[in-house]
Amino acid sequence: MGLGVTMTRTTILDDPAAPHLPRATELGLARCPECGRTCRAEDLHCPRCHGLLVRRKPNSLARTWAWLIAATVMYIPANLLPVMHTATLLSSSSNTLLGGIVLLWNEGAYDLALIVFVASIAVPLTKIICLAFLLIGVQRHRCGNPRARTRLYRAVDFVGHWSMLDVFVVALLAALVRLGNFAQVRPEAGAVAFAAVVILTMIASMSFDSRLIWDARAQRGRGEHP
Amino acid sequence: MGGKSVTADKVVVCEYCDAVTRRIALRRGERALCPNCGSPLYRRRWLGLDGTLAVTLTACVALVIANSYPVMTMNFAGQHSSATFWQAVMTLDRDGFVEVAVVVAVTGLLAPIVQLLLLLYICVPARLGRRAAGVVHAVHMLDRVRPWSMVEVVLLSALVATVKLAGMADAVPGVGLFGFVALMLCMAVLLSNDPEQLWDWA
Repeated sequence: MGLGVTMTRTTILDDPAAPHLPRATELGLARCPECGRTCRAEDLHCPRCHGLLVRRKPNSLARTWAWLIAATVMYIPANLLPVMHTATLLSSSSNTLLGGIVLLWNEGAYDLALIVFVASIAVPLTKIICLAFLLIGVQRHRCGNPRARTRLYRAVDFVGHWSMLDVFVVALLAALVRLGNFAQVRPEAGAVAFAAVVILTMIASMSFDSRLIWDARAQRGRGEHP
Repeated sequence: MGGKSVTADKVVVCEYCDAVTRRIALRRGERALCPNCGSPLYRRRWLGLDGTLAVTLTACVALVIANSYPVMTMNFAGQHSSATFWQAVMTLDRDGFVEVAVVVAVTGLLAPIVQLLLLLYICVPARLGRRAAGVVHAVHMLDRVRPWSMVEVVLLSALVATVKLAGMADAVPGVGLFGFVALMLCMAVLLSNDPEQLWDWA
């Protein structure tokens, strides 16, 4: 079994599809985190924008975990509490995120129900799970297929702000549907929790440094973490 | 700049994996991807200073239209109601959801305004052959504001809101919504340019 793992590791490292490019640290170079300019590693500040040349995002793992745990905690009230209260002459109801999606689905707007489901339920949860997966991989120095991991990180980072969709929907509906006793829409506590989840996961993915994935791989290649 | 920057201009370090690659000239519509991890490295600089200024000014007009006119209008049982984006923010505040109101105002209105103002602050003096004070900070700030600007999400949310209302009332997109469409298109054009180009003008 142990031998099998070692074999797999060797294959990944010698993968002919991935060209072995030199890394900035090996060449004495550094990327300016502020403006992206290629700088010399011994410089303290970037010659173009005077930004401090930090090699990696500071305390990336601890920070990302902190924001991620906060987001996970807020994810519970965001899904359990109602986000919107609808009152008409005939009926009055409070809807959670999932309840609103079910309503859309029942009205036959399957495409929009799907979009809202993906944006407000699936994306935040997937983001939390993926970031935790990436963090654990870096911490345990087990980052098989770093290319796929980097792609996963970029996807998580890219998709993040779309979850704000439901917050805007509630805001627009509440402003529009104000017809006294006829019909009224009001936001509810779940909306606060949900907005918090979106912002916290966004900050979490910004704090993660995907170069750590490749650092873990390089260390393994040098046998520093057997 | 001195001789050192010549080598610095020739190679690029990947933001995502730290791999070093040689810079190559890109053709129209191309963008460079890192051979190591597949992440985008840089884009073709196609817009130029004049183009950036023109699109930024257009975006300013679109932003004013988007926020001066109702995003949506609704007819229900003979009653008529409409809402601008700012009214949506104020309603949240009035209902006691200040936090959500702030989030909506920042991501839908403030962040795009700051983006456009910073672009003008960078580009207008550069066009006049001058250099604005603290322009380096302006470019840094532009980079930090970018993730919080969510014009395209506002647009999709208006669509979802329209369908949600369809069951109980007639909902019609307003002039403001078309302003948001124009604003989103302008923002997309500005973002498709290489962000590093700003440093040529800073």
